[in-house]
Amino acid sequence: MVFAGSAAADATDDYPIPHRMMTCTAEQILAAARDFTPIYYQRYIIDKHNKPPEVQQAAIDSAHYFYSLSPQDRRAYSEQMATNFADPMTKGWPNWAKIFFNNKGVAAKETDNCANYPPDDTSVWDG
Amino acid sequence: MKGMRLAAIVAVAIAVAAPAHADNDTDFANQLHTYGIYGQRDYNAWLGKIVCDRLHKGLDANAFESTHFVAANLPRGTTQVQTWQFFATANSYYCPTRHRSWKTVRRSRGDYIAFLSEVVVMKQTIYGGLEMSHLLHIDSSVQGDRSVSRRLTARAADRWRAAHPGGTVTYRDLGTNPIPHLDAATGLARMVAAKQRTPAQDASLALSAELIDEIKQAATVLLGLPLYNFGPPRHGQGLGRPHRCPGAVISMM
Repeated sequence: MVFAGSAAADATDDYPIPHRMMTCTAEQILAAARDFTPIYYQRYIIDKHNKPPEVQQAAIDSAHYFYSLSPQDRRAYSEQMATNFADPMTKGWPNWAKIFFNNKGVAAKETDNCANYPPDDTSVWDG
Repeated sequence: MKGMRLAAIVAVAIAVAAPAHADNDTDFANQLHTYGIYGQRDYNAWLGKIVCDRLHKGLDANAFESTHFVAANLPRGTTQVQTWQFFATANSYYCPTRHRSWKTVRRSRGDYIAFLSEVVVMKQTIYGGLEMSHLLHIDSSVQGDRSVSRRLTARAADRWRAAHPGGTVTYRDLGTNPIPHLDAATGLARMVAAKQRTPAQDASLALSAELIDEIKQAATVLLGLPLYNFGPPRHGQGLGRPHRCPGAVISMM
């Protein structure tokens, strides 16, 4: 008899974010998205540009915060991303982190290539 | 003279059908279909627009980088030729100033050479399997072996030959063999009936026909055009002559 595995999250799980998202910085992820999933990236950037400037900046800050965390902390924080509407970030832009984890195909292309990009090129936020 | 040392190359090479209808995306998709490139219409259209956007922003510096991007985002199994065809078609349909990527003026000589090589290889790649490849190589410098533009076109021509072993080349040197300007003896050749033409007028028309034929036969035209005091040499201007021949309509990009 086979029992379902434990639901305890660790850095090898794919949910709620793919485990491959445990590498690279936000800028590297975005640069890879720009070149390897360009339409998904453009939709995200257009969505971002449609938000007020303070919300856009908050998204950038939130992403930097997220990628500064340890893998375990990222996993824990990701449980709150886009789900906790008490968080002003989520309320201001529910899809702010979509490009970072919401799509396994996109995440695969991003993480396959992100290591080849500079870690701190903030121009990728401007599209 | 500083101006005498400046050399510029004009490469006239690419001719892609221009869009003709109101719905650009449909025309773009139809054009891709002729190359065997299928897929979601909106995806391909958006990808084509992104190609132009990246060139405009300098994210892709040249056609090679651009096609590298295209190749990464077209389905697996897309051939290199199809990638270049997608790139050329996207340029034709979506870039605000057409063919910007290879028309952009570069400052250094190295860039000129890279630029020419791109044009030559791209043209060869796109049309290599579709028609006999023929290069019309024209030099117009009066400086002989000192000429910079001659060295540049020679390198580009060598690159073209290497990329296209079966190709043929016609060479015309306007520096040593300039095209005579129209004068009193030949200027009226295009206005009088054939029976009334003088031998000089007949010869003038025959030369025009020869020049037109050279251009029509060429899949690629490589033109070495130096700048003398910030203008093209008079020899180079003689190339405009074929256009003064009745019945000759040539579309150059």
